[in-house]
Amino acid sequence: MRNSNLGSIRVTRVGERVLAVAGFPCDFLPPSTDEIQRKACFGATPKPAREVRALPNPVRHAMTPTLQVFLIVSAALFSIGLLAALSRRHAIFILIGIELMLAAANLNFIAFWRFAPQSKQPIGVMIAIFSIAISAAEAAVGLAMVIAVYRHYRTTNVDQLDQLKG
Amino acid sequence: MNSAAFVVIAIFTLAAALAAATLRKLMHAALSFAVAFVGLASFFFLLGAEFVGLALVFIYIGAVAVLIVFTILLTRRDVGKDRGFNWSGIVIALAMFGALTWSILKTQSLAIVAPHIRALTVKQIGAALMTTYVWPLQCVGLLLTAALIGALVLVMEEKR
Repeated sequence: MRNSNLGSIRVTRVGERVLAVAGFPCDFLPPSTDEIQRKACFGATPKPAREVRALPNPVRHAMTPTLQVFLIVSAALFSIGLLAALSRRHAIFILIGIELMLAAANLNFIAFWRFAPQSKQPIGVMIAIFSIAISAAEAAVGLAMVIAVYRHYRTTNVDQLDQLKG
Repeated sequence: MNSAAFVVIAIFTLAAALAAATLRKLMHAALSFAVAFVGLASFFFLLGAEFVGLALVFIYIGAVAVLIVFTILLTRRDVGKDRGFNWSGIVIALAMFGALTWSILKTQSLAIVAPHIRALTVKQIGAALMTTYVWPLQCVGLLLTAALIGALVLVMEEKR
């Protein structure tokens, strides 16, 4: 057991040394192996990799999405909802727009919960759950109102509902 | 968190939401509304809030989208196409998006990556709902009952 461990350590060390040597032009190797060796040489230069890994909290990591991009997606969703609520004349479209805006708010809640340090209670998730419940109630009442207005006026175009207009 | 998955889900969600907001036919818009919520639920899955994602699928696609489709069918005489389109809404929405994006990008404290947190289990959510959040839970139950009764009263046939 112990022997095999030591052996493996030795093997890695030897391998590193070989790679370091192979950083020089090594023409005696066939081209395919040369490619592999060169790649390994670039990988084996220890400094940049360790620097990146040693950062405790990398501020701008290119590969993982930051909180900002989630918020921007949420802002785009909110703007699309606002577009639907403002520019359509059909009452159901306006409700769809309001639902999209509420969904963007829920996405913000969840994103802020995920990116904050962990707390004892999952507050963001709780707020999102309650917000979903309330928006479901709002959708039910809103659609019932659309049906009631349609029964009365035979239209769902909000521009024609102008009886109270002075 | 995977960057490729994020990009795919973001494009999917925003395209579906844009279709829901701008399609001429109301039924197509309602269906793309449901698709947009599928994308949003996958965002929640990506963020590690699986319970909320599932609740979103059940509530929005199972209930709200079906409710919207039924409302479209019940008000069918009026629903051919949505004719009017107010172009100033586009300007206001673009201005809103620009302002929000500008302020988000300007806030440097938001440029953080997600810390490692323990996975949130349904047991934790249930315990929190039954202990700390029990009064809000009761209030939401009351609100849902009131909304149910109110919706029924609103759509009941008037008898004279």
